[in-house]
Amino acid sequence: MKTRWGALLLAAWIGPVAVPAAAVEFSVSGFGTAGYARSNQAYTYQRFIDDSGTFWRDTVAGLQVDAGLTDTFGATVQFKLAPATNSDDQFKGTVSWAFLSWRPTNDWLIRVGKSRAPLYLYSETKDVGVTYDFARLPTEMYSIVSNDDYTGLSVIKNWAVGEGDLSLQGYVGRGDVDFRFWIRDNIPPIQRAGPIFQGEDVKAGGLLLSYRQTDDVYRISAFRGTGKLKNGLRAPTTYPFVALAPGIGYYQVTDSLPGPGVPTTDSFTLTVVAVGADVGLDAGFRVIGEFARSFVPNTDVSIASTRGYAALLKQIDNWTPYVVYAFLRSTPEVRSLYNRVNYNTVPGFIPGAALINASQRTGADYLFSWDQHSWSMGTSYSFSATSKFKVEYMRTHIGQMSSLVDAPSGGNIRDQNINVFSLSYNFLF
Amino acid sequence: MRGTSLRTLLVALTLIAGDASAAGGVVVIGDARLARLDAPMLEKIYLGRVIEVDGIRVTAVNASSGSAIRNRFLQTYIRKDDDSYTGYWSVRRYSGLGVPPRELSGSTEVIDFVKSTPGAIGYIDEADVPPGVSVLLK
Repeated sequence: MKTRWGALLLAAWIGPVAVPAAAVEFSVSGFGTAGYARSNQAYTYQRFIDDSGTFWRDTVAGLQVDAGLTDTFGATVQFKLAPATNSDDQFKGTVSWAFLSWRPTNDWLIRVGKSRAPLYLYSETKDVGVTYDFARLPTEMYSIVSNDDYTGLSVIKNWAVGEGDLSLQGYVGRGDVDFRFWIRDNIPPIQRAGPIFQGEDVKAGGLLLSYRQTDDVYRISAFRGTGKLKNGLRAPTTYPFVALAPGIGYYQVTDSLPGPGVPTTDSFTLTVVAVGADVGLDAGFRVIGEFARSFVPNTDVSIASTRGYAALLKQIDNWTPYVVYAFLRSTPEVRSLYNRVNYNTVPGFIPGAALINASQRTGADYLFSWDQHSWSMGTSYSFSATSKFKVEYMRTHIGQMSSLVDAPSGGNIRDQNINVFSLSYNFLF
Repeated sequence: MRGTSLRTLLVALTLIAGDASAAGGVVVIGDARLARLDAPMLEKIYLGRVIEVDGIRVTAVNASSGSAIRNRFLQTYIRKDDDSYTGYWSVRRYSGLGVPPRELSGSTEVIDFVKSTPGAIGYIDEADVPPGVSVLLK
């Protein structure tokens, strides 16, 4: 679809390009999801889902302009409207993608600009609900980082192998990531309960090897990103234990507490290795699965984890029912540190015991730690290739802890189940 | 009597042949330099996996979504129905891998495009092929 205003949008981004305007073909498209989710719990799960229901978790809208500048050069800009990653109270418009692409031959594709790192099977299309059948891509898997759009260079080389294509993609770039911490306890005037956001500037790169044959995909990827905290902030790499008496002591979660000093760093390096596949079976069945292991060296305070999911789908005319099992677990070291800090208390006769005990819980609030799994059952219904309705029931079991849960003040969420009902309407135009 | 019967038979055969041609006959037309094009390569072109053949940059065009000729073409050469084809290109578009071939309405537009565009490929009803246009596949 050629439109004049699409040309205007893209021209504003690419600036003066020495291409005759009449030769440039523009295509404007868009996508959207209107999604509703509700749980059976009063506390919030995944930032927005609780027993009062929400449209915030899954609602998104986007607009994409593609331009064929010449036979080999193109440009793409994608705008997205979605809940902000650094605030729970705002819908924010962002430029997800803005890149120039060069395809000199059948087998090479080079992109310069802002695009998405292929961390997951559905990385590039995760905001476009029509392109998959799940009501929500498994959060256990699709929550490694808050943002995986990077500005840099991406190179893809393809080889025809058998009936399919083998593809190797390498990319490097810079981006922004926001981390969200949930502070449980109000301790005026020291802290206020609620979300705290911390931003990082990230330099990242990775490789993806994938094989596609008809509708089947197999992939393995490696990602490495180094994030530097913004605003000159530093983050702890561990909490030293300060012994007050045999069996009594506290974790020095802040230099405001007496102790040897909290070791800190201004940057973390995250490495993620992931595998995934989407394979068609007989009789309309499909099996989809992903698994990722992330590593963060030189710190006890990290998002190091193991995560993944397996899904079985079956297409029956316009319906595609499915069942999914997903899991997310921090490494034993990370979970151990969380439990030791979170449940540590000093007796009341210790001076300042109340404040010390509160500081332990706050220290735990700044540790990302997960121990959960989910079973989901749902279906999509395709009205057309551009319009899809989805409904899903999910039961998440929280084991020891989960940073995806906003625990209530004074409380801990462990060994609990969260039931989530979701429905959404997804469309393209 | 015999002359009448033969005439009737010939008319009947002509009608039958005409009907068969209309029912089956989507043909692929295009740049004459693409004479060696085969069905697997055509499929790759319409799926965006191939953009040049023998050093020639190809530009494919589609019929309008939902049209009978497009459905026949997709079923015959791409092994997808229209919804699956649209879904395939939705994934490619939102993966940043390009946009589907442009849509033209009617054989006349396709023929004009093929005649005026180097490397062009399109498809029309066999009955609509004019003189001077190269048929690449049928």
